[in-house]
Amino acid sequence: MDTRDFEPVDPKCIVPIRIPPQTLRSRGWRQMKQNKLALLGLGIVVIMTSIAIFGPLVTSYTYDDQDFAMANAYPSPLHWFGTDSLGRDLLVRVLYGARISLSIGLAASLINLFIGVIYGGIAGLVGGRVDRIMMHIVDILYSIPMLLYVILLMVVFKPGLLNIYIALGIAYWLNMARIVRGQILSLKKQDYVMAARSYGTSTWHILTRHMIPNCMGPIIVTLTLSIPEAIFTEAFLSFIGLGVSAPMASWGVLTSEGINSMRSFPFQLIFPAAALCITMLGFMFLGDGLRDALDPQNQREGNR
Amino acid sequence: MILYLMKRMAGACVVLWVIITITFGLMHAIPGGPFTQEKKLPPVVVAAVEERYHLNDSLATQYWDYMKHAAALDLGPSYKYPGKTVNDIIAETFPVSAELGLISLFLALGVGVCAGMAAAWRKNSWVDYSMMVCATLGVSVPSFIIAAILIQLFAFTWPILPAAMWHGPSYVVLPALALAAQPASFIMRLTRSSILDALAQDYIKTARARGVGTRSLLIHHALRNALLPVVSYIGPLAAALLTGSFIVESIFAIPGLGRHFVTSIYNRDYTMILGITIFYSFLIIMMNLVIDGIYPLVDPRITLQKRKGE
Repeated sequence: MDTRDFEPVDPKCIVPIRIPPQTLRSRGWRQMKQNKLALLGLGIVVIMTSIAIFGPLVTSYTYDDQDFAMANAYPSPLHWFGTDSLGRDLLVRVLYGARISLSIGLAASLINLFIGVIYGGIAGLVGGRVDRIMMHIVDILYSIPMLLYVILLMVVFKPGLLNIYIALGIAYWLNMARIVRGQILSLKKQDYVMAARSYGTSTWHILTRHMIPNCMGPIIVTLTLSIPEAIFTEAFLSFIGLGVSAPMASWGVLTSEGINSMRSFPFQLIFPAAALCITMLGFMFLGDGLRDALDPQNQREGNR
Repeated sequence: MILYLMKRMAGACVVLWVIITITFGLMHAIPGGPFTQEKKLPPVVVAAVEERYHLNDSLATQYWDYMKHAAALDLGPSYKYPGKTVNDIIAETFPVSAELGLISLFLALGVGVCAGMAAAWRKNSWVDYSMMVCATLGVSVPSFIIAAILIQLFAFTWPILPAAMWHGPSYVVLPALALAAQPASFIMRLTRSSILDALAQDYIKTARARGVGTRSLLIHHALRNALLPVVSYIGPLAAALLTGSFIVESIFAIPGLGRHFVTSIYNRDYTMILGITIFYSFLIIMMNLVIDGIYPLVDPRITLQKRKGE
């Protein structure tokens, strides 16, 4: 950022104006409260998250307790969701699955966020030739079928929870990088950034107080919508046998096991599939609501 | 025009080269080789086989050899299917995947755009709400669950369609539905929101003031402007239908190319992995080129050299 063009005003002459700032949070929350679907989504996400955190603490079984006498038992007061082919309580496995699936969604999205914000931020801030080259690289990576690479990475890394985080995290940051770069580029030209600069505000201050808060909306929306995507991808990986390793089980693993026994024991598919789909719905509603609340003008771009 | 095409082709070659290099590196980082098996082969046999496929050469030599052959469009012999080349296998199985993928693509486009238009036209009515609920459900249910439900309903509860295999038109219905459900929902949401955007524009008000009927307004004025986001989604969609299809292909036991990708990774069938990745990437690149050619047809303000927003 270049401050030479401007003669900073003497700081003593500036009378600070104190208007309570209309923060992203207050404005967004006011909008969100009117959107019933978004609130429903938020509710689902909060409930699922607390289930994932506290659920396994209050159950009387563990996810790998086997009871062959009770194998494939239908839902009953003893086992609310029934048991699987090894006599493991399905409810407990779904609860632990919530932990695993949600943590995968969250961890992969945070890695996306980290890489995407740094990459996109550098491209947008530096601009010029650096930006062109960096965005060319993103374009090249875009034309690679990512699912194939995630599969390859998973085989290289060996299936495991940490490796799923990493593989999903390093494969899907492109979108985030593009959005952050676009935001930074357009913010750089905004009048209030120029104004702040003419006041002699430091680059760091402009970055942290003006640019980042104004980028937050689209970033939060992208983050929210990338969580279900990661959970989805993990479910696909589980389906082809590259998910978390047994006896742990994500919803994806439980669902694909359920598909195999769908004909004889449909409840083994229904419960994990329902958990998976309801959570997806929650994140979708929440993401859509956040998009409407946080960046109304960007509605169409975000839809892509 | 020719210059533009040549530029794009050169770009495509660079992309393919990057892809080959990344895949080559990753593939050789996987522990084990194509001829490592549970049952140990005598060392002499291993040596002979590796000699036959040049696997004992240095990685650099193997890479260079592969690049030379790939440049001549020869993807090499498959290690797991002796006597067949990767080109043979792709030629054999891709038509099946392509048929399924194309049918799903058109299904998704047709259903998605029509439903999206209907929802936007009757905004905030029960039509709109029910469509939106369907679309959100469609986006949030993974395709393998949809496939399982479809099989249960239409092959077992009401046995009117075959549950699996690939022997004729009736075998296409269920896999195509399973594959198209998600993109159709996505296209519907996309179409709805962009038609609503378009309907809020001034030129629509003008047209309305001139007495243009609602139907004609929607079809001739709003739809054309609303189609752009849908067009730009077709590229990634085609890729998703092709690469995502291996789940559907394995559930329905369809002899397509998708299944080979996963098995080839498990088998460490190096040439197959590389060949299929190259083939898919090539398809995606071509698809994007075609899409860029469609843009100016939909919106004459966009020229080939300069895309909107660049």
